[in-house]
Amino acid sequence: MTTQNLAGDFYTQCFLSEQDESGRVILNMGPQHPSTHGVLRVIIEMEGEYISRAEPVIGYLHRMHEKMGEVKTYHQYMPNMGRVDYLHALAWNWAYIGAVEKLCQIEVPRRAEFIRVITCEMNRICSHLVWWGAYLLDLGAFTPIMYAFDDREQALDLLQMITGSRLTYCYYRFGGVRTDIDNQFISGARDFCKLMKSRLPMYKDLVTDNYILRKRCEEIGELPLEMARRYGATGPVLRGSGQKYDVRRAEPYSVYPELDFDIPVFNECDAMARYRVRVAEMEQSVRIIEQALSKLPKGDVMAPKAPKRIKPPKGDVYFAVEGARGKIGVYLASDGSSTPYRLKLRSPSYSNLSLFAELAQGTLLADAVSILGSLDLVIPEIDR
Amino acid sequence: MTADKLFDGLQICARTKCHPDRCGCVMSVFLDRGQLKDAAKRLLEKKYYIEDVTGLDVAEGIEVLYHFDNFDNPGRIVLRVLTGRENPEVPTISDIFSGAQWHERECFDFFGVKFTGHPQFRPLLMPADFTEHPLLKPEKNRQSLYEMLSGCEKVSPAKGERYCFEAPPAPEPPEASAPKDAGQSQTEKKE
Repeated sequence: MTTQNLAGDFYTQCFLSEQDESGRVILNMGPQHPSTHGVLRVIIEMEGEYISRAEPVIGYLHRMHEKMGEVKTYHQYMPNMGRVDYLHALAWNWAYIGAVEKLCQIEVPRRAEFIRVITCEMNRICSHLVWWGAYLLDLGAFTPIMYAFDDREQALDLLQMITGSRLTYCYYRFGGVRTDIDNQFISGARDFCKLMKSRLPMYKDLVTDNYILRKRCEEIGELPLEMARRYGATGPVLRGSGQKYDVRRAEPYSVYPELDFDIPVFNECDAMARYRVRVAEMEQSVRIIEQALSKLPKGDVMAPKAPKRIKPPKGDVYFAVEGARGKIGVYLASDGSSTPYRLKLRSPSYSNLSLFAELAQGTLLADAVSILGSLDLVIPEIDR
Repeated sequence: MTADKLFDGLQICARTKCHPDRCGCVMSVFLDRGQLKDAAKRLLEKKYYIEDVTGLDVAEGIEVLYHFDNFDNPGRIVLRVLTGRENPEVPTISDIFSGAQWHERECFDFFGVKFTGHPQFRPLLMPADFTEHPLLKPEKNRQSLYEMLSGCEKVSPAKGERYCFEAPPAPEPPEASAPKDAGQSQTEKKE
């Protein structure tokens, strides 16, 4: 805790200089606060128990992935994508690979597209499970995270079998995927779907309908749709504000148009709506995996004509995919050489966190923790 | 369809040819920086949301790109503003799209572009005492934007203070690369 008579660093000084009324307590939450999920720091001005002003301070985990993109070749850069967002790494894999494929016009075999869908959705469930457990942990419920990690472990084991890693995947390739999936994986994935189907109703009964949880989430952090648009919020944060928007449907890519799934939308705009969207999305992801497994065609997993050396033509491209936190965008400008000229990563958490300052104004400090959790932040993705 | 009429009345310096299947955008226009706020206001009225603001260091100067998309009628629109290398300045749109605040601060961190009128203009991702701008390229590595975006075409005679492809440090005379505006350049010479 920092008060005015202490100097504070650059950001505290800036924050203090914008203060219109002196005498209020300045709280420094983070960068090592458990509920900020990583090294996020929020400077808060308190008026009694209420927040009158808040400012997130980010950049503690900044690694300058965009600069690395300009000095590495297209292939060398691939492992970076697993390290941007450690919870939904495959979506970032996909965003980058997809942008390059679009620029070079590389065709991907159908079997590879289905494998991408299966693994990406499985990874999405993992990501939502971690969020679910950690959010409840923030709110004071310890047990759910144990269940969530138990389920997630099953999926991680499966993904490890084919990708070779448990968290920082680098599995997609320009023109396909690294390894084919075998029967062991397929039967394992079916078992995982069965497991999730038995678990989700239990979670609903035990947690979602819980009176204490609802008191902590309902009518907390109300985010009107107009505000979400001004800030460019996407993903479950947006869908919790009643807007049916999902990149998988809005800018269809891969084989998603062939698959039957719903986009869960809730109109309450509060933290509970965002919670419900994510829980409902897990159900939908299970649906997608089951369909993709039954439709899985035979064939190659790498395009036979996929170039070994990537040298895209001159031009620029923007490719977006739906990550667990929202719209992941990659803007790529190529000058025709073997390294990107410019690589911009659009991370959904970045836009989602930027609205926190406005959202937290006038709420209780304890509710701010609930709001932060409901935004599902992954700090490495914000700082990049 | 609505995207075509969106900027009626605004002066567009140039537009690039867009094939959504190839570049992911339905429309990409170069604007004079004086027109940027008007364009952003129109986009907000038409319920577009901001995706990101980013930069590109090219031979012609520093280009600032704004990506917008629509929730109900998806179709990405790119606004491009070219600013000089010496003292790059662009008006902020953070009073229209609040989300631009952080994107603009990031753009200053990486490219040193100043956004005039920004309410909290200070480093975001970079340390406060860091004076370099890591994404600026050394001169020998800079590419011509006109060549990178081969589908560029000028749409109207430019009256603004600075418009695309003719910024002072351009290595190539624009007449050579853009036959379409040859007539216009001649009239300029006469003047």
